Amino acid sequence: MKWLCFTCIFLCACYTSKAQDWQKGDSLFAEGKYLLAAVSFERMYYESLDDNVRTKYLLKKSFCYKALSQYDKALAALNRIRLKPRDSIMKIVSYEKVLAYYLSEDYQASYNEVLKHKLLFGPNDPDMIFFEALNLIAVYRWKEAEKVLLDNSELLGFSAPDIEMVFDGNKKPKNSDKAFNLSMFLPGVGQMYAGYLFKGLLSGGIQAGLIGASAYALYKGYFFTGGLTGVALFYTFYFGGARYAKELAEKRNKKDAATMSLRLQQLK
Amino acid sequence: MRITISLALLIGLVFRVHSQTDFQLDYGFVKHLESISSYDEASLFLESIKDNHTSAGQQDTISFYQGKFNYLNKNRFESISFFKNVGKSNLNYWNAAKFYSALQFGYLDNHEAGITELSLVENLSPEEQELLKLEEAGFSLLTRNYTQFYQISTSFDNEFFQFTEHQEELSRIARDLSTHKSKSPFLAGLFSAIVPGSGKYYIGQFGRGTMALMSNAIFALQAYEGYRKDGSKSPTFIVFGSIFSVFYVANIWGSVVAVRVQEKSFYDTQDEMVVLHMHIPLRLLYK
Amino acid sequence: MRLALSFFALLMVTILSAQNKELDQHLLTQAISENAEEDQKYDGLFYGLYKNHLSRQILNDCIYDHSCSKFSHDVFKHFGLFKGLFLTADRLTRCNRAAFAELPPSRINMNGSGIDHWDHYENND
Repeated sequence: MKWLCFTCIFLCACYTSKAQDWQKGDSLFAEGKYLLAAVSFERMYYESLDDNVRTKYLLKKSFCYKALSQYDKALAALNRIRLKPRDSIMKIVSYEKVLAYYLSEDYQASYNEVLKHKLLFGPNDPDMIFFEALNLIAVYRWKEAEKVLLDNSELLGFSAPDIEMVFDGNKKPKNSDKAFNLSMFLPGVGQMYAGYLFKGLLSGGIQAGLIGASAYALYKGYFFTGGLTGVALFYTFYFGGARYAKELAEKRNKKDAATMSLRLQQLK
Repeated sequence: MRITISLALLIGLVFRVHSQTDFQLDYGFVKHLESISSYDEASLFLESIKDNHTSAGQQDTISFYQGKFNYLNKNRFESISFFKNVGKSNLNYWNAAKFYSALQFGYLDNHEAGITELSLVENLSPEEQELLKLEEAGFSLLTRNYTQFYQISTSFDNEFFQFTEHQEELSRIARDLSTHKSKSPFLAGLFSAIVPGSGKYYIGQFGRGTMALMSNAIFALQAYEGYRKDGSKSPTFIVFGSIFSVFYVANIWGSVVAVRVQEKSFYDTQDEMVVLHMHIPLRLLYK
Repeated sequence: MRLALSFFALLMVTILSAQNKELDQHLLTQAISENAEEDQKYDGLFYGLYKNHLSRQILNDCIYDHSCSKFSHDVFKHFGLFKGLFLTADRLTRCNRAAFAELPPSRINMNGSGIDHWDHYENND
């Protein structure tokens, strides 16, 4: 009889311990085993029937992938959540979506999510205002970003001069089409407009040199040399330079946006 | 005493049922992960439960799905090694594992191993038999054994609509491969030496031939101009003459090399198509 | 009803405890500072000058995944002066839309660039 009892206990222990294996997502997460924790939360999601509880597990799964910097997978988990939009748990889901979209550099989607959040849960959430400004900066709408920050400066706890400092007088992004046209009008100027003086001088200098050399060659009667090499090289540098000016303007905007975001982040 | 034994048996039975339901639950979860395309998570999950389920059938199921998820994640070597562990407890898994591994070997250019895998399948359904023919036909094309291909392709059955398109495509590729004539690198070089770019026309690359002709003509004209106006010792002639010589030699050399590169990419393209037409029917059958 | 409410409150507490704002701030700072980093600078007097300042100024939408300058850099390194020079010149005449139209599907990668690397030209004398 005694051994029977022992077997019983042993088997029960075996069974219950096995069954509990996949119920410890939180401790796996705490140990930093994020991928295992994600599987565990998915298992708990799979085994539960209540929608609120399922939402909780999907949310936690998204935390795992956020910690792993795999934002697309975090978003995949968040986007599987189906609850009524005004449910208070959805406030957290919405915040996580805003963050994940921002971190995966999909600023437009992040901004849209901010607007949705404001519509559903009121406009006075400092986190959301902060993200609204960050996203506006990232899509080069700097004037609007500044206005948002100034209008809500008390809520955020930033002073007006600090906010001015973030933008440092720079409220207008470079227009890439303008840079292109400037370089078409006068080679090298577009690059300078975008803020790259040396590259502009180099481009302008090379093209001036090529025009001079071709003209000289043609004047001296070297029709093939002037006509083919001179004109062909000028052509590639002329259109190539204009295209590069456009590219540089976009690059400058991206860089400025990153610097502003960094300053804003440091204010916090 | 009798009661004790029967109680022990009962507990044993209960445990067995438990472990069975446990496995059913795990299996259901694996299918759930598959349905949401979380193959990484599924692989990790299977890896961590494989010691809990020790019966042959359970082990085979786990190995099969490990192989399948690695295949879906394009980890070819890993998937082959998992499929190798699948035993014969369930012939459906066994056969599917063999088909999948053969396909992976096809992708890895290890044709012999692929053919060996295909020879191990057992008790096939009519669809699987047709698939086997298709896969074998594919391997005979990959190994350039055209007589074997025609032998197999005459026995293709048109009744399986999901295969017919791919059977026809394989036959078309077989025609292309068997009638393909290799070009001569020597002739390509010779043509390009006589008229720059014409070697590339000879191997069917008209755009490249024209570009080679044009670049040679441009530099030749400028070199000629330098020579005519300033004589053979002038810097213009020397500079453009050297550039022209470089492009002229490069045009000959490029034509010779292009023959080999083009031959290789022709066969690579055909092989890719063959493996694709081996792949799609397999996916359709084991969807 | 009360039970349901208390259960829900408990749920919120557990979620909020898992939601780690500090980690979020850290991730944000990291992502933003990565964007603010400087571009890659290339070494070498000529290769560097070309890559850093000139290469994009030329209308040279190279059709290959390894650009002409990288290809040239590689062939000079692996095959020496002569073969490097000729392979580069040949490659330049192959870098245009007409040549791209003639690439077989197996020589085009997922981004739509042609695949043409120095090692395709090994053992060709």
